[in-house]
Amino acid sequence: MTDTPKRLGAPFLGYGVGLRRPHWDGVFEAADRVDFLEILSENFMDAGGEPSVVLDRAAEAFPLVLHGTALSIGSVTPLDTDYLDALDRLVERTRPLWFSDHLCFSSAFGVEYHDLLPVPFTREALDHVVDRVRQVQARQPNIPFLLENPSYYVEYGANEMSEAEFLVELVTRADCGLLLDVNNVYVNSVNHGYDARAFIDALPAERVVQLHMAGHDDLGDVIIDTHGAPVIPPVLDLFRHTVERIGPVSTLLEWDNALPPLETLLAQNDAVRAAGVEVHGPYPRPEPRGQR
Amino acid sequence: MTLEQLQRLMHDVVKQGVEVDAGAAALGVDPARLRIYRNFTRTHVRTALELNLPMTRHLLSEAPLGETLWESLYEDYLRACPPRSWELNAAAEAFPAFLEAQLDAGRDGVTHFAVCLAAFEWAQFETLRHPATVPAEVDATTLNPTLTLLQQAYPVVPYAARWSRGERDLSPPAPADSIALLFRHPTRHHCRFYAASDVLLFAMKVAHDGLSAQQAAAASGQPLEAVEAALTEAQRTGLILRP
Ligand SMILES: [Fe+2]
Repeated sequence: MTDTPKRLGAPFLGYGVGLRRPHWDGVFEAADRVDFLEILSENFMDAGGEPSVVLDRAAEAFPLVLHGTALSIGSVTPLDTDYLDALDRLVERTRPLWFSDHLCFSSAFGVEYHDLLPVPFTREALDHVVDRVRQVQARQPNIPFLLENPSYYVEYGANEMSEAEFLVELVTRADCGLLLDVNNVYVNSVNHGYDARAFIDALPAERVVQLHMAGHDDLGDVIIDTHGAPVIPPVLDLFRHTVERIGPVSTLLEWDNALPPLETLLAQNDAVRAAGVEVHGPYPRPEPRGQR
Repeated sequence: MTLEQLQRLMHDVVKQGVEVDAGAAALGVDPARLRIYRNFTRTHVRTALELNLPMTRHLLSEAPLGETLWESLYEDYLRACPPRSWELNAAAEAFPAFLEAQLDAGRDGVTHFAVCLAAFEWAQFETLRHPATVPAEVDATTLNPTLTLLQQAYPVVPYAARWSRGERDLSPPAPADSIALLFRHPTRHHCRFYAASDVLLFAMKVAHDGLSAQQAAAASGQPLEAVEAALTEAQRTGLILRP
């Protein structure tokens, strides 16, 4: 296999899936087909009962990474310290290889949207987000923090630069990692009419710590990023292009809506892995937790 | 436009304080695309309500006013109680109090029983997420630390039990002061609920006071066998834990 660059010190973990409630039992039986697990932070923060038991079991059995949706890194409202405290407790309990959230604002003025609203690609927003990423990193200096490129449906009239320019400057100045969602690149490139490959080529390879792969719904006039369908061939092609350009990257299959049986999810993960292996060759499976 | 002005506009659009077309013109975006965000944020609240309060939703949809009542309550709830917590399910947390305020205001179709049902359903959710750990082993008779007592004007427990068995053709019960006991099962982690019977209340008191069966028999003047039977029954439900 080609060399596996350590991205911000983070290893190549292989091909993983999200830990979702309907698969809580089955995924532990399928450890030979899942290289790592991604935990949706808000599903487990401060939860007792079964989530708490499953979380400990997952941390025991798999390499873990955390992924959040409610940090609201782009909001003009100050970061929520209750949220950050709960996130710290989760990080300290699970010791993930890295943790991530999205470039967006998901709450502001005291209201949670439970959705990822886009930040404008402006100088002011860039300075603001850089400053807030540094605040988050200061709380967990030893665990890489990544921001994901979200899918977005509106392009603000206020934009002063392209999405790629914004992302490159953001991760460089904030010195954080990038969680590159390949499906989101595809969705945005279609919805906003840009060249997906050129977008990926513009990103700093050494900062891409993780990839997301997912399915979407094409409504004709717009593609909606639903995470509720299989990955389509053009997104797999874009994934191959990404790996050709930047080498092997820990890749996570997202499936959040209309969850299929575990076997369908695993077969999708196998397909993504096979596409990756075509490009980068066989790779060593990560050692079970506890032996690292 | 500053970042704050832009976010305020987006906020007002999704919170329905500004019309989508006006918001889109001010933001320089396509209104059809902007509407996606309003619809998403609305749907998230609806999902939280329907997932966490299914009995309440069913009852209010079956009421004489039917789906229109549920839909209009949902619209008013969206405006009155926007989500405040990063936990998605918590978007339903304010609904019992909201419904009670509707009852107090004399809203057509909203009943006292519906308010009790909503409070019960939210208590079920909180029990599932209760941060306490139920110990695997104990040295003395111990109360399940996830226990919640819900004092209500209607007997919700038998109604909820029939719902759990899949029955949907349910009539609201007659009013009667009742106490529901909700707790998480020690090993299976689901939420269990019981009407507070004399046996369960007695076992709760024994566990709370940390008494042995012998001490409880002496203190209550009951035969030891009756005390043992009560404690065994309470242990079987998961309400108390015993060595
Ligand atoms: Fe993603």
